[in-house]
Amino acid sequence: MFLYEKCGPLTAAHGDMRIFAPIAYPKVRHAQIVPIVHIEAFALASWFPICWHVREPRPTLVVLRSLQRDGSCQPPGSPDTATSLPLALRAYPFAVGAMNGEAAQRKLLIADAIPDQPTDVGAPIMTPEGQAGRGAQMRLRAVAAFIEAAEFTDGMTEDLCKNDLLEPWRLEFDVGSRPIVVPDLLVVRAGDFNTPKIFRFIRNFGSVAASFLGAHRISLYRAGILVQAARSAAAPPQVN
Amino acid sequence: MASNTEPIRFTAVADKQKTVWRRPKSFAIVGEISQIPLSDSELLLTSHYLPIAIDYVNDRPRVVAITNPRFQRAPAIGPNGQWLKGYLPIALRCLPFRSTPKPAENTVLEIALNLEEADEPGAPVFAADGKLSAAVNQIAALLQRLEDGKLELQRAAEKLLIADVLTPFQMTKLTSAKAAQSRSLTVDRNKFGALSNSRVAHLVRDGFLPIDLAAACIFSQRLLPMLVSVETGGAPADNRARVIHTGIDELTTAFGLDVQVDDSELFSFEQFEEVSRRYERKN
Repeated sequence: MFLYEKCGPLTAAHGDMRIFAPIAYPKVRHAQIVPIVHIEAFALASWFPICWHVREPRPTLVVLRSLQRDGSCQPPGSPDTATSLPLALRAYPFAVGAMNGEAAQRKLLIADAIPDQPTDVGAPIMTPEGQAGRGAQMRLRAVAAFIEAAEFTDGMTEDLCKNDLLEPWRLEFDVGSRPIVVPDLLVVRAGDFNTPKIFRFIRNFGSVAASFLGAHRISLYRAGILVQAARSAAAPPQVN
Repeated sequence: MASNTEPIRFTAVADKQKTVWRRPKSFAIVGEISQIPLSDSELLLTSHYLPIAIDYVNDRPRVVAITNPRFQRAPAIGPNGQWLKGYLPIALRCLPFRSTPKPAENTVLEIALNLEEADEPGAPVFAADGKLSAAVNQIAALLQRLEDGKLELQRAAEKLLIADVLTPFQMTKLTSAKAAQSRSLTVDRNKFGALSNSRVAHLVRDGFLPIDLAAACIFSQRLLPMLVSVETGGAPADNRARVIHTGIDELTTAFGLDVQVDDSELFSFEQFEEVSRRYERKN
């Protein structure tokens, strides 16, 4: 998973490890593309376009936080505003979506991440009493919510792919003196929203899928904000 | 500017009472209008900036964007009457013109008589040949698009009405324990979530606009101020709100942690934020 360069299973040995506010970690601040689940679509649609990222074995539902690969030029308020953070980043450094196999074999994974901009002294994962600290609990809630929703999210994605409802979303803009291209993104084909294919998709997945598609369509208008942010950053400074 | 007590007066362009037009000096009057009609083409974009509602006019549902300051968490109009939101709806963009449906004539193009005008050179309403000028023709075409779009949204709103997913806004009165119900309606996300797969699928049988409208209503509810809420039809359906068990046995065993989380299908970041704030206060 592109958010995590190196992950390992969480063990009791991690109990003394300190974790910090999510934005203390560079990946949280700078990740351009972040995986999400359908339950956070309405919350994130006010911040970022929601689309799919082409990956194997299937596309992944994501938010696009910036046109820039280095994650700069995010919309105003992101990533400092807590409500702009997807579950995957609220869980950081605990990993989401990195678990395969049956539930019985799942392991909780933690990224080998160093907070380069700590906002405080952090807190240990485990308290001296052997309980998960509050910071760890908050992250575990985010992991739990992501995992529980992921199966349904992946099911919808698989169905959209199987029925050829996704198409490439070509993002190419001139920013300053050079073009910016964000490749490998997919959206639901606009022309298919009034076809029997969407009727069958919603009949299969219900009102949750209908709401989700609505949030996806609403979110795409945030692409303009990403372009504005990129162009503002590239504009030459005003001379008085 | 039309005064706070004086409504905007319109006259048919064809009457030629005004032959020169200018843009309005400010949008301060918009707050007194309370709501503006929308076209289907601008529904989703507008929902980013203004609460979307369904009003009842002449026994027909009408989809509007609310501009009443009491229904805005952040103001739409600045102190100098400037428009503060990232999108200006068609009905406002076309001022001082508007289209009014007339039974025998389809629509009639009208122009405001008493809107305070911007300090700019005026433009002619009519061309030399007596027809509408090119600029006014463009505005008329946009207003016709608005009329067509209003009709599409009306049909979509009727479907939501029939599906019984609409509910009034509730306005909390500081001087009374009882909330007042507004005439305007929005979508109750719990009722919408309780629709069977078949019923919700049939909402999109003739096009996706009913779902777009439901989503726009739900999405834009976050723009409402604290004193305005949405009356909901009881608890979410059983399969929508459930307690999550992580299944991460290793962690629960090692740390004795019960990570049960109440997860509604539409994840409540407000609850998550409250937990976070309590954590930060204690630490």
